Formats: sequence, structure tokens, C-alpha cells
Amino acid sequence: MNITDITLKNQNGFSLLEVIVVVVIVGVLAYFSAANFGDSHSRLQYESVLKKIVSDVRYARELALTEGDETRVYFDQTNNRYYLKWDNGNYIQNPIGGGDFIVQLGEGEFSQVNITSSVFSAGWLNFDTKGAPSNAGVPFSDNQNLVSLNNAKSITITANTGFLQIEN
Amino acid sequence: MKTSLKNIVSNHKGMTLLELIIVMVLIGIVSIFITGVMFYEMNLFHSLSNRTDKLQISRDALRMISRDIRQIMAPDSISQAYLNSIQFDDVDDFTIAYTFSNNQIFRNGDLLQNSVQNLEFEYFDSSGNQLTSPVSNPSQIRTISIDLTTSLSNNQSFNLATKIYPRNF
Repeated sequence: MNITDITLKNQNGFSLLEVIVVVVIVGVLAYFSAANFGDSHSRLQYESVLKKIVSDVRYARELALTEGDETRVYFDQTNNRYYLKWDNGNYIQNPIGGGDFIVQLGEGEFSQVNITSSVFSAGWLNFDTKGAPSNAGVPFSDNQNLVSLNNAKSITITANTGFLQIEN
Repeated sequence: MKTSLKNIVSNHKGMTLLELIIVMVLIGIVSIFITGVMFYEMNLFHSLSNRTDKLQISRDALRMISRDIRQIMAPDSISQAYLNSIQFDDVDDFTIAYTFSNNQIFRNGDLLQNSVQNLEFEYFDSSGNQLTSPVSNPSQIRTISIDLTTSLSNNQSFNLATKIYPRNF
């Protein structure tokens, strides 16, 4: 019997049992690669929360400039959330979906992301009508740690200009 | 022969290796197309969100520079008028300097924007003639135009420009 007989002309082929065994093995491998996908899903969620915070803080700054009223961003580490307020203490309205601008982390769509530290957790990040940032009215110098998430990446804010950067 | 489960399991005629290989090749070709489409969508999303992000940052930066320049105290308050930097006193007698170096814009040493390909200031006198940079006599300046080019990740860039007429000139 030569090689052609084995591969092409051998009509005995595989039994259903053999094929089922192969399918089960492929299934087990697929399960583990799906677990990898789950991991990248939480990483994706983490990255998107970082971007969302940057964009929300920029929104607060933009409002201070355009509305001519000071705005505040609070980072509430205890309750794992951040929220946007006007100078008079009223919540800023969320432009997406309406309601108070409160973003709750650690549950729902942001279940895997938690606030682990913030220089502004004792007070708040304030934007004056020129868009300049301060810590509860006290101007700061250099870069400040705006917020850290899951003890990994953090967002820093530059003094005076309010420029935001995501850092490892 | 009755087709009972026992018959199917013990049916040693089964599928040939050739048949299996053909099926696997077909599945492979289909999955290549599917992943191709997926990666294309992902890249498109990333480049678009990157573009929107940079555009917002650049607009913010340009707005801040414009606002400060509009608030220059008087024509003789400009102390430096270079191609890539400017220094002046505003209405509150506060000295502000914008500089461009290493693809970054700084306002009094504080970072205002990164990923900057170029920032240029052009200066014009009262009759609209452009003054050569650096301007030796900055008190001639009446209008200042700002040209800001921001680079994107995929070797592309976009340009924002504006012309400012300071209020007190």
C-alpha cells in the first residue's frame, strides 16, 4: 500500500466518533481563546473609561469657557463615581440622555473599572471662566494626578492650560 | 441496514481525509474574510476617534492662544514676535509666552498641546503688509495670524488657522 492509497483512495475514512473527538478538542481550545477575548474586553472597557473621563473633563472646561460660569468636576473615591457641577452646586445636565451628570464606575457597563486615587478627591477640580484649572479654587503648578484607575493608568492635568494626558 | 445510533457510531466508512481537508480549507477562507472585515472596522474606528480627539485638542489650544492674543494690552506690549513663538503682556499686565518645540506647544512652560507638526505666527502692520519674523519693531504689529498643524497617527495631518485683531490696537 503506497501513500496514495492511505490518503485519497482509503474509503474507510474517519468514523463519526473520531470526528466528534476532534470537534470536542477544537471546542476546548476555542473556550480558552474565548477566555482571552474576555480579558481584552475588560481592557477595552478600561481604555474607554479613561477616554470618557478625558472627554467629560474637557466638556466641563468647555462649558466654563462658553457659558461664562465656573464648573467643577468631583472625583468621589468612596462611592467610586465622578460628577460634574456648576459653581452654585447644581448638577450639570448630561448632554447624552439628560439627567444629572454622574458617572458611576464599578457597576453596569463600567463594572471592571474603579477609581483608586485622585489629588482632587478631598476637594474638586475647578475651571474658571478662562478655562484655567484649580484645586477647589487654589491654583496648582506642574502636572497633577487627576485620577488613577485600578492602580494602573492615570490621567494627569497640566497647570494653567488644563491639558489632559493619559499616562501609564 | 437500519440507521440506529449504534450503526452511525460504528460506521467505519465515515468521511475521508480529503473531505475533511476541503471543509477545513473552506472554513479557513471564510474566517480570513470575516477577520479582515473586523480588523478594517476596528482600524477605521480607531483612526476616526483619534482624529476627533486631536481636532478637539487643537481647537481648544487655538482658542486659548487667540483669546490671549486678543487681550494684548497695547501694541508695545509685545516683547517677542518670532515665527514659532510670541511673548506679550495682557490687559492684566500678566506676561504670556507661547512657544513651540519638540512637537509641543507651551504656554508659559505649561504644556498646551502635543502631536503638533507646526505652529507659525505671522505678523502684519496697519496697512496689511506682512512683517518678516522675527519682527524687529513689534509695536508696528496690528494683526497676528496663527497657523497650527497637528499630526495624526497615520502620517496625515490637519491644519487650523485664524487671524486675530487684538482689541486694544
